[in-house]
Amino acid sequence: MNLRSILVMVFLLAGILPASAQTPDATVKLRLAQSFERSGEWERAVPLYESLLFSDPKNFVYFEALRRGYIQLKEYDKAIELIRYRITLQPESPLLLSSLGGVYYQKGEEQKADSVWQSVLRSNPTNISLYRMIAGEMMEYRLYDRAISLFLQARQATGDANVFTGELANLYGAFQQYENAAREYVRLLTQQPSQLADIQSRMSLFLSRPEALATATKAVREALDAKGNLIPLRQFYAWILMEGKEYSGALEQYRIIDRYSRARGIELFNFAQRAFEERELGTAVKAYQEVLAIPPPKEIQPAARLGLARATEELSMVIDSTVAAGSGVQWPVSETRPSIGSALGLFDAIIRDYPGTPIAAQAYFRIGVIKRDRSLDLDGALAAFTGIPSIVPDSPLARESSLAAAGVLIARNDLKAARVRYVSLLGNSDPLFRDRVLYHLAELDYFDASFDTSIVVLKRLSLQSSTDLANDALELQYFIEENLGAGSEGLTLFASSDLLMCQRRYPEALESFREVIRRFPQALLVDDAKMRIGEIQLLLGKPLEAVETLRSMTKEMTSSILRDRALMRVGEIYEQKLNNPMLALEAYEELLKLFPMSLHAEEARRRMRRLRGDAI
Amino acid sequence: MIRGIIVGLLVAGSSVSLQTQTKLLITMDGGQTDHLKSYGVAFWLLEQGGTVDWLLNYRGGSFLMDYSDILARECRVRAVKFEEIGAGQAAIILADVQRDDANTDIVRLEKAPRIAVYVPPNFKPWDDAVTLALEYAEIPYTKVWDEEVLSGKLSEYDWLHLHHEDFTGQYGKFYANYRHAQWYIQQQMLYEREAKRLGFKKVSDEKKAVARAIKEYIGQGGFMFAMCSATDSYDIALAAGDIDICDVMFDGDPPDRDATNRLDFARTLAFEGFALDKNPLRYEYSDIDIPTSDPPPLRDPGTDYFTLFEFSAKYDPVPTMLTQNHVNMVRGFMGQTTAFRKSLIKRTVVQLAEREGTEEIKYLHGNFGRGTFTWYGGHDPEDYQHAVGDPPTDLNLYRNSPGYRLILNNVLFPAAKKKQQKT
Repeated sequence: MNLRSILVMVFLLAGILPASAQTPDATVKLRLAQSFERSGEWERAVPLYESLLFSDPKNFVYFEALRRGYIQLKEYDKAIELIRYRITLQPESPLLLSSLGGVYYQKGEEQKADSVWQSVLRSNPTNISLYRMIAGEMMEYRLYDRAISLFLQARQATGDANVFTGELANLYGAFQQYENAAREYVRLLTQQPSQLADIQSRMSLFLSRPEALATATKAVREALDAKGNLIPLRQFYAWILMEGKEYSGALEQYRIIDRYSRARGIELFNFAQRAFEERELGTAVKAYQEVLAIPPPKEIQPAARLGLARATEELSMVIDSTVAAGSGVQWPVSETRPSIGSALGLFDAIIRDYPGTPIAAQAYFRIGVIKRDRSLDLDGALAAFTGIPSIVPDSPLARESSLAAAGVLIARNDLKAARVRYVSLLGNSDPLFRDRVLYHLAELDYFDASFDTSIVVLKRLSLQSSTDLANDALELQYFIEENLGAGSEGLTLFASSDLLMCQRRYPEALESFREVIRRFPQALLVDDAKMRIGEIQLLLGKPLEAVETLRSMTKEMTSSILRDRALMRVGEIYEQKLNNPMLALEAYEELLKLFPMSLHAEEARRRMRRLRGDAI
Repeated sequence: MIRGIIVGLLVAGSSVSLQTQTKLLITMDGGQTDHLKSYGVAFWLLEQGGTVDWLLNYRGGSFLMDYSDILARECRVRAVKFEEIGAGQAAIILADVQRDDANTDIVRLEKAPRIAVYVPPNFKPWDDAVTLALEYAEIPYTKVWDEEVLSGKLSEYDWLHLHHEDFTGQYGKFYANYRHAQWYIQQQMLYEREAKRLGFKKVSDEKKAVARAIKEYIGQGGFMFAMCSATDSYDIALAAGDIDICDVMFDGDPPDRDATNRLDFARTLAFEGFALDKNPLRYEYSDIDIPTSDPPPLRDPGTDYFTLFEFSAKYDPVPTMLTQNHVNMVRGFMGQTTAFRKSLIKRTVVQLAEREGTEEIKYLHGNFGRGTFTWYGGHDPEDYQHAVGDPPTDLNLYRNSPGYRLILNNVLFPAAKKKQQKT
C-alpha cells in the first residue's frame, strides 16, 4: 500500500470514526516504535507509526513521530504528503506550513520552501510571532543569512525598527559583521539601558580584534551623535574607547556623563581610578584634578586627593626616566609638567588637611619613599616613616614603615639603631615578614664582618625554598662561605665597601673596592670587586669606564666564573646607555661564542634578535 | 614545485663533492642543544641559496654545510650546537657515511621548499603541532584555506600540512560537548557561509571537494603531511564521495542510511575496509583510530611509547629521512586520532612507526601519483592529552623533542635533490 492510499483511507476514516483513546494494543505498538526510534532503527519504527496513525488519524503524537521518521529516512515526498494531510485537519496552521517549508528545503526545493514560508507571513504580515517561528525553522536548517533577511523584513512590515535586536546582534556578531552587530547592540541598549553590562560582556567576545573595535567604535559614535543625552549609551561608548586604550577620549565622555547624571564627580572619580590602574597616568591626573575642582562629595575627597598625588608621583617618575633615556618625550607647553616637587606638595596638603587619619599615613609613606629614593633626604625620609606607626598602629603599613625606617638608618650609617629597629620587628606575627627582617639582620652582620652569625641566619632562610628571599639568602651565604676560606680580612674590606655602595656613597665605595683589588690581588673576590666597580662607574654616569673595567675583567681574569656576566653587562651598557647596537651585538655574540651554556645566553640571544630586528 | 624525488638512490657520493673548505657540522644526536631549531638553520641556509648535505642516520641525521661566520652566528643566535671541522675531517665523515656496510647515506638539500599550511582563518581553541614546530624552528609558511585549495593555488607550494581538520563536515564531532560553546557555533556558521560562497549547499560537500583537490595536488607531485584527525577524516571524505555521512545537526538533514556499505575504498590513500562511527554524539569518525577517543583510553603516559622502524638509508632513503631521530623509542601522545589500526592500512602504504605488540601504527607514508603523503597520529607530541582550550605547548621547553623532530623531517624532505636509483 503506498502512502497516498494510506492517507486517503486515513482521511476517510477520520470522518467516520470518533476520536478514540489509545487502546492497549496501540500503547504497546507506540512503545515498540519509540524503542526503535531511540536505537536509530527508523526503518522498523516508521511502519509502526504508519499503522498507529492509520488507526488514529487525528493523533498529533503519531503524526509528529511519523513526520520525524520520514525525514530521517529522507522520504521527503511522504513527509510532504503527510504534512499536507495534517493541514487538511488544521487548515492554515502556521506551524504546519512552516514545517512544510522546512521539508521542501531539505528536499532541495528551495523556491517552494520560500513560497510556503512567505505565504505564512502574508497571512498576517505584522505578526512578529510568525517571523520568529519561520526564522526559527530557517535556523533549524542553518539558513542564518535568510533568518537575518527575515528579521529585517519583519522590521519593515511592522514599521518597528526595534524588533529582533538581540537576535540580529547575535547573528551579526557570529558572522563577524561587527558594525551591524554594534548598531544592534546600540538599539538594544536604547530599549533596555539596564542591559549595559550584558551587552558589554557579549561585545567583549569580539572587541579584541582590531577591525571589530574600529567598526564598533564608529557605529557607537554615530549613534551617540544622534542620541547624545542617553547616559548608558555614552557609558557604552566610553567603555569601547577604554577597550581600545583611548583613555583621553573616554575622559571626555566621562566629563559629560558626570555632568548629565549630576554625579558630582563620582563617575569621573571611578574613571580616574581605572585610568590609574591601567597606568594611563596623564589621563588619571587630569581626571583627578577635574574631580577635585567640582568639588565631589566629602566621602571621596580624600581618596581623590591621594589618587591625584599618587598619579602625579608616578607620572613624574615616568617623565624623568624617559627624559634621562633621551627619548625626547615632550610634555605640552601649556600644561605644567608634573614634578616630584608637586607630588610632595600634594602629599603634604593631604597630611595637613586630614591629620591623624589612615589617608595621612599613606601620604607620609609616599613622602618617605620619595625622600629616600629621589631627593636623597635621609632625615626627611626617616621622619616620614617613623611617624606612621602612631597613626595606624598594628597595620601592614606601620610594619612596612618601620622596615623602611631601618633601611634609612643603614643608609645614614647608624647600624646600631638599625639593628635595634629590626630586632623590635621580630615579634611580628607574619612569618614571611619576620623572614624579611631576618635577612636584613643577616645583611647587617655581613656589613659588620660577623660572618659566622650571618651564615647561620642565611642558612635558615635558604631552607624556605618557596620564597624569593631564599635566592638572595643563598647567594649571600655562598659568597661569604667561598671567600671566608682565604681569611676574613679581604672579605671584611669587601663587605665594608658593599655597605658604602648600599649607602649610595659611590665615590668612597669605588675607592674601597679598588683597595680590595690592590691589597688582595690573589683573592677569589677580586672579580666580584671588578664587577662592583663597573656598576658604580655606571651609577656615576661613566659608562665607557664601566665597559673598560668589565672588558679588562673578561680578558685578564680567565679563570673567573663571572666573565659571562661581565660580557652580558658590556652588551647591555652598549645597548641601553651608549646607544651603540653594533658593539652591543658584538658583546652578546662574544658571550655566546665563549660561553654557550651560560645562564645569560638565552637573554643574550633574545637581545641580539631584537637588535637585528628579527620578527621573533 | 620539486616533484617526485622518490626516484631512488644514485651511486653513493656522486652528488657530493669533497671541497677543501672548512665545514660546519650540526650534529643531531643526543648532544644537540636544540634539535628543532637545527632544522630551521638548515632551512635558512637553503633560503640564502646555500646547500646542505643531510647525513642520513649519521649522528641522528646530521647536517653538513660550508662554514661561514654568518652561518656560525645564526647557529649561535638560535642556540644550535655545531662543530667547525676542517676539510680533512669532513672528507673522513663523508667517506664513513658512504661506506657500503654502514646504514647511512647523504642526501643533498638544494632548495627551500615552499610550505603551505591548511588552517582556517578563524580562531580555534587548540594548537597545531606543525604550526608550532614551524614557528619555533623559524621556518616560513603560508596559510591556505578552502578557497585557495579549490582555486588550484596549491600548485604554488611544495609542501602542504594539515592538522586537526575534519574533512567529513562534522565539525570535528565536537557536537556532544561543545555545541553551546561560542567558538563551535561561530565556526559552524562561518564554515557554512564559506561553503555557500564557494557554491556548495553543505559544508560536507565543500570539504569533500577540498579533499579531492588535495588528492589531485598530491597526484601531480605535491607533498602532504597530516596529523591527528586530518588523516582519517581525509580518507573518509574521499571514500564517501557523494554519500551523505553527516547527521542532521551537521548539515541539516539525516545521513544516508547505508552510508558505510557504499564507501568506495578505491578512492582513499591509506585506509580500506573501515566502518563509520555514525553516532553524532560520539567523538570518533570511524574504527581507523585506535585506541578509540570516546571514551578516551586509560593509559599511563609514562609507559606509552612508540617505536620507529629502521630502514636502509641507501635503498630506502625516503623512509629513512622521515624516521631518523636521536632515539628510536618516542613518547606516545593522544589525539582525536591517536594511531591507525594496522588491519585497515592498505598494503601499498609504508608503516614507519608502531606501538609494539599492538595494532597501533603511529606514523605511515605512501605514494600517490607523482607525490607522497605522510601521516602521523596524535595531536601534540609534547602534550600527552591536549584538550580543547589548553594553552599551546611552549617548544622552548621541548627543544630536543623526538616527536616534534618527526614533523620537521617532513619539512626538509621536499628539499632533497632527485637521485638516480641505486642498482
